[in-house]
Amino acid sequence: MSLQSLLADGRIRPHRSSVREVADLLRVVERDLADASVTQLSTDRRFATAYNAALLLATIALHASGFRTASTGHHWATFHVLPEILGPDAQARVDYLDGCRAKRNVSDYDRAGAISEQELVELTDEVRGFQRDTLEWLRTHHPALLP
Amino acid sequence: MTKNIGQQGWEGLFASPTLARLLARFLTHPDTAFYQRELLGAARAHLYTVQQALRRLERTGIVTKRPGGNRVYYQANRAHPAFEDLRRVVLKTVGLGDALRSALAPVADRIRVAAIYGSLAWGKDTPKSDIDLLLIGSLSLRETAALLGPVGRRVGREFNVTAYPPEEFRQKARSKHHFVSELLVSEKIFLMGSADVLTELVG
Repeated sequence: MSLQSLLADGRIRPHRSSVREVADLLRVVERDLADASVTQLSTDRRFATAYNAALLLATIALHASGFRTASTGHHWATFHVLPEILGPDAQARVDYLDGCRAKRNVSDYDRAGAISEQELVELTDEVRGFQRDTLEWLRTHHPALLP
Repeated sequence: MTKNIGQQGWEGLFASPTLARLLARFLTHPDTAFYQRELLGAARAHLYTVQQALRRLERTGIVTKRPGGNRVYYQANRAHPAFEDLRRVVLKTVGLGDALRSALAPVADRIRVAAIYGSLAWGKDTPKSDIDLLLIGSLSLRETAALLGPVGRRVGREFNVTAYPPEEFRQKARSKHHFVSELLVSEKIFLMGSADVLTELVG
């Protein structure tokens, strides 16, 4: 679904972001990435925390582009509009993060221990890359939103 | 021994491909009642051929027929003694297995085991249930997401993939990790590899 059709469906709304908002979200991403590396926590919890960082990076892209999600299913929508915002190269990242969303749902609500260590390392690496790419994208497209 | 199904696949087992396609449609949608015209597309055959196949399925008892309004509805019969077994065969082949196997084909040489577990394997899934997929091999979640995404969109279900490198799976099995231990004893539908390969892996 495109930004326009999500907007027409009321699933996203216009939004004006700010330097403060972007800075706050970036700090939460930092915090989550740091927490996801705490080895005393379960692999499941660390995975969910790294996933949250990915969701917030996608949220930054959405907010900076002038939209925010309005209702349920917002994780799905936040990821699915990324290729339209960041370019078609983001599709592979979206497919992957969407798979992580399904895993994290199962792990948070249904079943413990279903996340392998390899999967955690992979997600953490992906989120670090996503963080770098998001900062780069902000510098190029929305420099006014950077502190 | 090959871990894949022959060229002819599931349909090759049947004298008529229409029969195979109809059976697959009923067994992958056991809670849906279909009327004849709805089945024409799935069967890719003419009405007469479809009617013949439906009569045959109905006589075996695997499909039941009932009138509703001015139509006749056909539906899989969950009470049939072979229902669960046939459904597993269908899921393994045309229902889902063929689609999954061909999606994973580019990385098949790096997969030791691919198996469906969870509600679909126990036969307790609903049309909205996730498809739980265990993959053991040298592959990343990112790779599998790119390969499985299109299949998920086509079947309208979400995949919940758990991918283990063989060493991590072995080590977790040996240390009696609860999820892996449960996986080992729970119902599974093997798409690649087999129970023997799994036993061998755990060592």
